[in-house]
Amino acid sequence: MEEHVEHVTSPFASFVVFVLLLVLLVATVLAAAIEHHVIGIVVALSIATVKAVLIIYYFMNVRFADVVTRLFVVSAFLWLLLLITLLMADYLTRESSERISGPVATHMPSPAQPA
Amino acid sequence: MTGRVAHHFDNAHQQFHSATLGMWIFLATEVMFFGGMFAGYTVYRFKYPEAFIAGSNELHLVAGTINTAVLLLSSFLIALAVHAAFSGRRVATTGFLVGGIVMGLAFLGIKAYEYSEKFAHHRVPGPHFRLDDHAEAGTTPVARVDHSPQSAELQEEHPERDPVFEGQVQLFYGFYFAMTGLHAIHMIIGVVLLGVVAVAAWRGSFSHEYYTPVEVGGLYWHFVDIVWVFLFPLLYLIR
Repeated sequence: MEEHVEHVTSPFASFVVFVLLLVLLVATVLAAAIEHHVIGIVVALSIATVKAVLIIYYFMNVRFADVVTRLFVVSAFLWLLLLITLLMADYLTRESSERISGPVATHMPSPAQPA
Repeated sequence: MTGRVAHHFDNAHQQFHSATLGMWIFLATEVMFFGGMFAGYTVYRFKYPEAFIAGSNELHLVAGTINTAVLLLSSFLIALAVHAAFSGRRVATTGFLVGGIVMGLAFLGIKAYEYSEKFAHHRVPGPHFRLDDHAEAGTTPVARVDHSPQSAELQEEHPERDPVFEGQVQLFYGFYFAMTGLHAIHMIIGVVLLGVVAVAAWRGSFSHEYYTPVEVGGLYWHFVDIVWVFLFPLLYLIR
C-alpha cells in the first residue's frame, strides 16, 4: 500500500494568511478613495486577485495538489478571463455611436411597468 | 484504512485526489455560473458609470466591510477544521466547523439587515423602485419612475428628476441583488453542507486516513468566500 502523501496547510500558516487577507481588506477599502475610474478598478481587482490566490493556494491546499488538479484550477479562471476579455473586446471597439464609454445612452428600456 | 477505499480506486490516496479533483471540476462550473453575471456587470458598469457610482455609494460600506472580515474569519476557521481533521482531532474539528458555520450565519444576518434596509428605501428593482427616498445616504436627489398618469405632471414639477438615470441605477441594483442573492444561496447551501460534515465529525467519522468530506466541504466554502472577495469591491467600492 502506498504511503499517504496528503498535506494540509498548518494552523500557523493559515493564521498568517488570514492576517494578510484582513490587511488586504483594509487596503482595498482605503484604496477606494482613489476617485479614478480606471486606476480605481485596476487596484481593487488586483487586491481581490491577490486575496483569491492566497485563499486558493493556502486555504484550499492547492499548493499540495497534483498537476491535474492545478490544471483545472487555472483553466476555470482562465475561461472566465477569456469570457470577459472577448466580450469587452467587442463592446469597447464598436462604432462611436454605440461605444459604451460614450455619452449616456437614451435608448435604455423603461423599467418594469407596474402590473 | 483499506476499508474506506471503494473498489474502483487503487488506494486511499487516489480516492482522495479523485474527490478533490471532482470538486474542483464542479467549482470550475461555478466560476462559469457566477462568471456570466460578472460579465454582464462589466458591460453595464462601462456603459453607465455614473449610475453605478451612485448606486454603489448608497450601499452600506461598514456592513459590507464587516461582512467581508466575517467571511474571511469563517474561511480561516474552516482551514483550521481541515487541519484538525487531518490531525485526527475530533473535538477540534467539530468546534472549528461549528465556528465557521456561526460566522457564515452572522454573514447572512448582516446581509439580511442590508437587504431589509434596501427594501425599506425602495431600492429593489421593480414597479416600486424609486430614488427620491434617500433618507439613509444623502445622495443627490434623482429621478422617481412612476408610470401612473401623474408621472408626466411630476416630471414638470421636478425637472431635475431623470427617469433614464433612475433606470440605470435600477440596473445596478438588479446586479446587486442577483449577484449577492446567488452568493447568499450558496452560503445557505454551504452552511447546510458544513452542518452535515460537523455532525459526521462529532460522531468520529474522520481520521488522519480519511477526512475527505471536510476537505471537499472546505473547498466549497472557500470558493464562496472567493466570490465575495470579488463582489465586495465591485459592488461596494465604486468611485
